[in-house]
Amino acid sequence: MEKMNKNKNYINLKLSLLIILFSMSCTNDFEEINTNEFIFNEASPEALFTGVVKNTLDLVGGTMNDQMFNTYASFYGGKGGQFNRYFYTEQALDQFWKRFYVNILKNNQDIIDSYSSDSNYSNRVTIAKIWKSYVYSILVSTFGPVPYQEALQGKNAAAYNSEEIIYTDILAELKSAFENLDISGDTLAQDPIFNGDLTKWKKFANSLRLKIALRISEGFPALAEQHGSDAMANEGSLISSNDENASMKWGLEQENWSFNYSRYVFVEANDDVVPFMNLHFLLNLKTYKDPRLFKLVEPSNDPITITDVVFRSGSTTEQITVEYELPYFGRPLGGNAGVEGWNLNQNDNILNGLANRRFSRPKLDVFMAADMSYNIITYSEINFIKAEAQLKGWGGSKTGEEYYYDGIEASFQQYGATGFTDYKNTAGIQWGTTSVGDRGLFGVVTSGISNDPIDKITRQRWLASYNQGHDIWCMQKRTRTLPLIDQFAPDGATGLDYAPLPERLVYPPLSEGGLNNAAYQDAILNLGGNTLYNELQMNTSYDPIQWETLVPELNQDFGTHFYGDSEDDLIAEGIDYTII
Amino acid sequence: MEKIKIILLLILFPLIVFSQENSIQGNIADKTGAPIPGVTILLEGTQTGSSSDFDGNYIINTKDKTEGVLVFSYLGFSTLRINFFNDSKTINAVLTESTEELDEIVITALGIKRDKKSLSYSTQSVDSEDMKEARSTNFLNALAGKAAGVQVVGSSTPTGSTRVIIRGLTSITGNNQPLYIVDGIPLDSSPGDGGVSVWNGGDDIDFGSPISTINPDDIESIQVLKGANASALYGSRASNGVIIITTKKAKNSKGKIKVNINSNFSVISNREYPYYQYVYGAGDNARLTPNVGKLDQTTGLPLVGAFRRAYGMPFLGQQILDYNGEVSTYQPNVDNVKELYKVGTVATNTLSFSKATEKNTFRFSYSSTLGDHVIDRMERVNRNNVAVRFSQEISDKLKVNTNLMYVNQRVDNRMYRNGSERNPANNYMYILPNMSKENLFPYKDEDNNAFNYEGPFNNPYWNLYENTNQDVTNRVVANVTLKWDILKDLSLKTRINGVVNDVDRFEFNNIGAAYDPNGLFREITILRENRNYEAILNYTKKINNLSIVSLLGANRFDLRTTGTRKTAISLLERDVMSLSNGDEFSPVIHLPNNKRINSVFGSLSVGLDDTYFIDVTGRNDWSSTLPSANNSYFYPSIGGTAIFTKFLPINDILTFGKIRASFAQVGNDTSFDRIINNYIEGGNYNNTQWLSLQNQRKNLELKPELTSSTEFGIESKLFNNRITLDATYYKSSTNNQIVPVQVTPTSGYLSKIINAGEIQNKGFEFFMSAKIFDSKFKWNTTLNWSKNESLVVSLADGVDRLLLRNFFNVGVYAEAGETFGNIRGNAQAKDPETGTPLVLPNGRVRWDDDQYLGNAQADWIGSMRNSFSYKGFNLNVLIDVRKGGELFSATMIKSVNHGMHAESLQGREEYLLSSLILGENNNERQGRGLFGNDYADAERAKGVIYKGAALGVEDADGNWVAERDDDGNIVYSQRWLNPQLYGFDGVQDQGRFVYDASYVKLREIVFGYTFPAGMIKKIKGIKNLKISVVGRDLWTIYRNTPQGIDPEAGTTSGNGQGLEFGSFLPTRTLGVNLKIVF
Repeated sequence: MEKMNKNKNYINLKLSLLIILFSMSCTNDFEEINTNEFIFNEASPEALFTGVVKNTLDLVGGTMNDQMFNTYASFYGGKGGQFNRYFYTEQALDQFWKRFYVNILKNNQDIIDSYSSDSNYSNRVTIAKIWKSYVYSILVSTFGPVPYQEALQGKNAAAYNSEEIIYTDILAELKSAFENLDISGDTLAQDPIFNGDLTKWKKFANSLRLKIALRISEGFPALAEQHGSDAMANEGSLISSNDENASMKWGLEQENWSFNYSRYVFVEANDDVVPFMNLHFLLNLKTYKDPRLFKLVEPSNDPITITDVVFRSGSTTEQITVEYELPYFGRPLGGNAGVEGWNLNQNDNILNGLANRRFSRPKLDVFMAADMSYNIITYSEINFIKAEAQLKGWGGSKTGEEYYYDGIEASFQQYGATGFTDYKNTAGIQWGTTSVGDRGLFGVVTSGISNDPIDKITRQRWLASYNQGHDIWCMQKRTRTLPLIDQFAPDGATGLDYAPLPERLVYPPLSEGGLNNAAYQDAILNLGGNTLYNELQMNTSYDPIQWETLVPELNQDFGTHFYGDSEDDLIAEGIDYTII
Repeated sequence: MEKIKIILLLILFPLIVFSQENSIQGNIADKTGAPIPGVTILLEGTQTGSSSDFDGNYIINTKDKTEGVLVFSYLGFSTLRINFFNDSKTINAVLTESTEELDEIVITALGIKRDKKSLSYSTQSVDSEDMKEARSTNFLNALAGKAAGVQVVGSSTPTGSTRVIIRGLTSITGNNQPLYIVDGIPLDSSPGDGGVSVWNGGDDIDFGSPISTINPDDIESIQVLKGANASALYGSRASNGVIIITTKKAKNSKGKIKVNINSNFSVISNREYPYYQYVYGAGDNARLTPNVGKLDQTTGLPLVGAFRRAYGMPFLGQQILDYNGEVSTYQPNVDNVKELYKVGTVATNTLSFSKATEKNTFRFSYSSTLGDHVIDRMERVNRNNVAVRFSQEISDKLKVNTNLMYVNQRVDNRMYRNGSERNPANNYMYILPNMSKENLFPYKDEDNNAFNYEGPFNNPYWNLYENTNQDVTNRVVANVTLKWDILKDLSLKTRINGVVNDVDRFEFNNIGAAYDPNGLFREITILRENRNYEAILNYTKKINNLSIVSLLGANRFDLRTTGTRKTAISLLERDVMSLSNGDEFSPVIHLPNNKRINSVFGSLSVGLDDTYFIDVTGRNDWSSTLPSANNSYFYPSIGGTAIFTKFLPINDILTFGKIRASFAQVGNDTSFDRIINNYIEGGNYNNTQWLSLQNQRKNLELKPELTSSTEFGIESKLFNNRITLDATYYKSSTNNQIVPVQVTPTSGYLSKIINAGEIQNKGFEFFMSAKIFDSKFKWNTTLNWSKNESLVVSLADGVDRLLLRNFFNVGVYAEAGETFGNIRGNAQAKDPETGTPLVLPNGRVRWDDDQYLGNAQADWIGSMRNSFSYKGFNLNVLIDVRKGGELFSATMIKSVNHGMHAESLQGREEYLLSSLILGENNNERQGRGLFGNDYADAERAKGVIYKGAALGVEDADGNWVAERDDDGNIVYSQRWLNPQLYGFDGVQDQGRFVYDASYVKLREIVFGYTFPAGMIKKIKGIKNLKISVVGRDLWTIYRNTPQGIDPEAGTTSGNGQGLEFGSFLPTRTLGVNLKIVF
């Protein structure tokens, strides 16, 4: 009985407890229960900006550079994949879009939104604004008009702004950043780019403004001149040595490994997917005996044997035919076969049926290293930009010619190459001279250089900017001067026999067509379509080459005379050759 | 673990108090004298009940009553009322087969037993007998075909997640699986494949649903509450329906111990293999040596390993250098798929003891499951289930009921799923016809590094022998219920229960894999506890012709989950399975998931004349997951029933009939931490930790979801209960869906959580059971049939579709105004006027993107169970049917693309003749001869052609149309294609790989023999002995998917159905089952 009473009491107690529980404290602990204690309520500008830079690096310097920009700039040859074969996949476009807007720009914007009102953060907010301009400059020159003014606000739909609106705004932003950065003010405690050096940030802002101004000088001449000449007027505040180069760097821990290292070195990728040097890029180094070649190119482990005709040792008249191994030769952009309709006899093609491993790759310890750098603007590049700016009449303390040579010298210095003086005096390289150059594999494109200063400046900027695929693509879209071939093996999905250089990248039909459709349709209407070939305003119109109408000729000029034109040169280089 | 131990101690040593009270016992038989087991005996006017055992014996506690009425009821028999008096100790009853209505007692929400005829909504009992014999390692798989409106898609591995959907989907993106209540305890039903991606997400192991580990031998009954109407009282967690499982309780054994043994041994084997081709081997474009790069430099022999596709030469015994580096012949191995597989076995043994007196009952059961699967080392299960159930009458007014279930399960080497390169089934998609176990061994070199292969192929033997994973689950489910009869008609039930689920997992990938040379070790621990505190006041009264059943209650539900996930992304040493073997680590990920729901609820049912019934319920929940302004929400239900046969003259045709109608609402909250945006750890970039804003925009203004449901039904029994027919029509819609909608990335977010959209389900359910023969030879047929349509009425403003799951650009979507689950992707472009398919100038497919390819939802599902018995023999056969719905098979795309599948044989001979023997070039195959002339021999087949296709040309408006001649007639294309390119075209011509997912399956078969009592009497102590031959998933009688692709295949148990990639081959299970009762 006693036990029973106890039980009853217990139940009574419990019942009353339950009643109290429900009437008094129904929702008291709810906020605490619903709080995730393992995430962060606040983020410092440093914590955000570091991620922004890492994400920018992985996307622009990693994925996009690998999948298209380095091919568009003819740095890589023969690389597979839809983008590299002048097509695209919708999923990848979606990913680019997401990484740009969500991973990079939104986090960057969060610095601006969260810290603008606090004057203790004004320089750091300004740095975020510089970065915003940089990232949008890539977006707008890659896709064309993109959402800008209405973007990053959590809105369900964001209208696309014209190229003009975006360029006007980002150039103004860079101008005010340059003016407002207070060298004695706050700075990033952890700065992944300039280690907290605000002077370098200032120079970066000014240099970036000049670079963008030149990029749009054909499409928006007045706007370009306004900012270009203003930046040139502050020439002292442009990048003035290789120490001031703006670059982003990958790292040695696995999570920070470069795209190239993790994709092409760590996991031993097969020879069909690794990047190879572009044949025409290498041709332009080889023709002028450019010492940078050995800094940029990894010799092939399994070189081809080339047949060459050289002067017999000690003679300047008697020629002999020799055979020797050539570890330096590139892969053509669109495969070895050329254009359908040429009907070349592939038995004459030295590259026919060649295993991919026999081509030269970009220098492994520079371009495939785990902790490699991706350059945003270099000193040599800014010299070539100044050279063009000077020729446009935007000012400058030196002549175009002087800037041109400064640029080459800076590039030599950047790669630790010697022999600048010999190189600059080579015909074709030297200001005011011309050269015939060597022929490419099909004989229709050569490495010759004309007397036109723009031809010289752009050629050198190309050579000096290896791996800066996006910059060279933009330069080519503006000047159309580089002697590149088109994609002779475009993705089957294009249905084309060959494809010219894309004018832009396609807006992602999945995320934008599905989620921002009205704005997307408007943008397409304004652009006249959503293909790789809708011309942007910043691009210069041109007539694409009708390759099938050209008369090709298979040859080995891209490789011959690599070591010189006499047997003595081969002996001097210690080359093992056979006379046949 | 500590907590589990304490709970174990508490439960295993209850205070057992035995005492004596009044009781009546007796035997129940039919007119022929045959005992009737399972008869419900109710003490009229109380909730006290009992049921008869196998021999028709019963015992019922009459409490303090000195006189009263016992009500005997059993399906198919007339309810019998017998008065008893003080001196009645034994009452034998003879039931006569019914010609009138039946009283069928069913378990409804909150465990309330109700007379089925009084219910205003549909509920269905599931026969659980067959699943105890024709066993599945995964209990949920055995629910397939058992109830109308319940769609079950079995797990693809014995330990994987099962998809159970009742009456369609109520949530567009959330979990749509029902709530499982075991003896009043809500169990976690979230599937374990949430992290499994379609394509190599790196986390592709399916850990199964916790509920699937229940031992069917412990199950007494399963009741399905289908709609919101039935489940409204359960609240938030029940909007997808409820499956109530009641475990076995000892039945009166007059103090004797009853022992049950069930032993089952089954073998699992592959039911079918894909139809691969063994005519052409590795190579490209009908060649084995397309260039010098594919030749070995030393021997000059073709390097067969340099190819990823089987588009090479016909097998003619050519000399080659094989995968293992040896000189060999180019020959097919028709067993290359089969030799990976073996026969799996599962042994399940259950032993149970039970003992009951009038005052207390005790049941203990232990079950062991030891099994593996069809691939060596994979899916080894070792499961131990313990169940203890105990009830005691402490006094005539106080009853305590406790139960405890303990599961200990260890699974070794769960298979990676779908497109994971670690998934052997995915590896097998790319296995070339000349590959064999022989030339794939050894799979690693002297340095223990995996051999690399061309393309996506990875050696499956590496995956089998170098990767290991294991998970150990300890789960305790404990419950204590106290029932206090305060007054004659008033009782209070309090219940405290908890589920503690402790999981430890690791995943090990050895150093040296081709896809991850550094190896990986991952450790995940999750401790998930949920507790319920509940008090319910019951009031039951019968006043004249009025009957009242009512209750008022309160409940608190607490969920607390802590867990971590630690990964070493690079290992130091081979073979060492430990976190301390890590060289580099990724950040520790915490896995919190907490929630509290407080509720008050009430219900009232009033019956008039035993003919009209009205049900009203209401519930208010407060959920911690919603913002404070919106975290309280109320929802009601109302229903009515009328038994119309009361107004009809008694007749031989319609024995019983009722109509019912009800309307109900169920509110629903959301999941943990969806209100305020925060920052998450991004990583460490060159020595700086970085953070990143969560890319899902959370919402401070969330409101609860609300499902409103209306249903009408008719229930009838015909021809003296020989036939039962139930039919239900329902329509439900869920508003204010809390969905993470994708948003344009330009907003700065990938998705945001909003209240939006409406999903509507309407459907029809039909159930019929018939006793076709009911004499010595018995033949019963049960039919379930249901049709459900889930319609996405609307999504968020400006959002017209949501992507649920995708394989590259083939996606499954929820689209506003459309049936849920549209499959979209690329399809061949067609001439808008004539529908003529279009090709490109090179003869390949011209396609349009984002085309409708099909829909994943079935038109209807159904099942038919026939059971026959004669003397001691019984045969039960369950056939399961699905009609309609489509399945996109990425496995087929890949195996055709790579030339493995026999479908890729088309045109190969012709192409070989054209390209290799006649030396024709592409121009000639496309009909272009020299000098711009047409090629002379245009008609001869030179490969594959898109039949009836024309060249696509752009018209003046920029649309692609078929090429037409000057008279406007379509010029059909004669562009012959290299079959390899036709195979490649599958990537764009995706409509080719969408299949009708209808099927008819022989799901379950039990053929048993129960030894006659006379025969077994000789064996001492044995009361009952039954032996059966059983089978599951034996035969796909009808289907339209290619062989080897199960029409039920998918990549998830979640909402993105209709896609398949790297799915496992369909299996069948055959076994013997032995049941002994002592």
